[in-house]
Amino acid sequence: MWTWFFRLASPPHFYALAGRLTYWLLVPAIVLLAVGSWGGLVLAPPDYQQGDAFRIIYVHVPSAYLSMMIYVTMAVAGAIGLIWRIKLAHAVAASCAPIGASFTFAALVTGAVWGKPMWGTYWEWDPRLTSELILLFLYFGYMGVRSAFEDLNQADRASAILAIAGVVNVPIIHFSVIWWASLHQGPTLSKLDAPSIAGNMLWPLLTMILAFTLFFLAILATRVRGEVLEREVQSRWAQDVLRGASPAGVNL
Amino acid sequence: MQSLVHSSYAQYLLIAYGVTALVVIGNIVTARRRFNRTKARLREQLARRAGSRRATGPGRSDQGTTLGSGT
Repeated sequence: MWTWFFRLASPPHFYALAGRLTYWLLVPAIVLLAVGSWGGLVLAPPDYQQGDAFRIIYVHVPSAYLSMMIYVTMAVAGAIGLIWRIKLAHAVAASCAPIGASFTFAALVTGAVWGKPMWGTYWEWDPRLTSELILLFLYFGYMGVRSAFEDLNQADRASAILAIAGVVNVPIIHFSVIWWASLHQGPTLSKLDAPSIAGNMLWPLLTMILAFTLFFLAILATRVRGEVLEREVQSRWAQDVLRGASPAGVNL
Repeated sequence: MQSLVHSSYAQYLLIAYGVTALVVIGNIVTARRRFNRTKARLREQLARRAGSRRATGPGRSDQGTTLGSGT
């Protein structure tokens, strides 16, 4: 287990593995996106209260789930980088931020577009919406802090501290609909004992969540490869990669 | 599908799915472009450094760094 972990933290090994994994993640993600979209837009019946507008959940829920999941990934990677001084973890954290910010933006826009026909307004300073907006600002803050430092080590440390401090917002987003009176509907998927969504509406949603997750991992793999190459440019293996040669012991 | 197109919610669905598609495609394009640009820039840096090293004679040898250890 630990051998596998330390091998994964080796930059040349990770670079090669991520390169191989990208297409194995991206192709199933695209297939599942197509299947999930077809299921959500065509096969699922209209909701008895919300009509066809409910179909927005097939893009809104996976975007919102990714926005939080990516932030937690970023904070955990930042913590690993700070505690064990594994620079690959900082590369992962730095690569998470722009992806997370874009999906937070998607979650906010799709939520606003859903809110207009359902609540009569695009935006309300509701706890769920406000905490999700704060998440977007945390991503912007993280990227701003990184770009404010010339020195990469300082940027890694400062941005990791911000990511760890900001992770407190994630449970606030999740439980806001339970803790406070909210316009936003309560949990649907996490109530496993009594799910409040019918099976023929549920499977396209789960398919889309899986598709978005695979998609995130594929994009993350590509971004981390670039980060690793940039940080490792002084090392022999990275120079071999840049020259188009396969470094010894690394199957590219 | 036909009823969906004529639904009163069609415009909202179109905006929601359109924005999400833009985010998904945008992520793929920017990640690929950034990776290729980084590779090209680093290749250029290496070539420039090799050129200046040839001009000034042998310098210090490449020292490997590792992402797996501390600063």
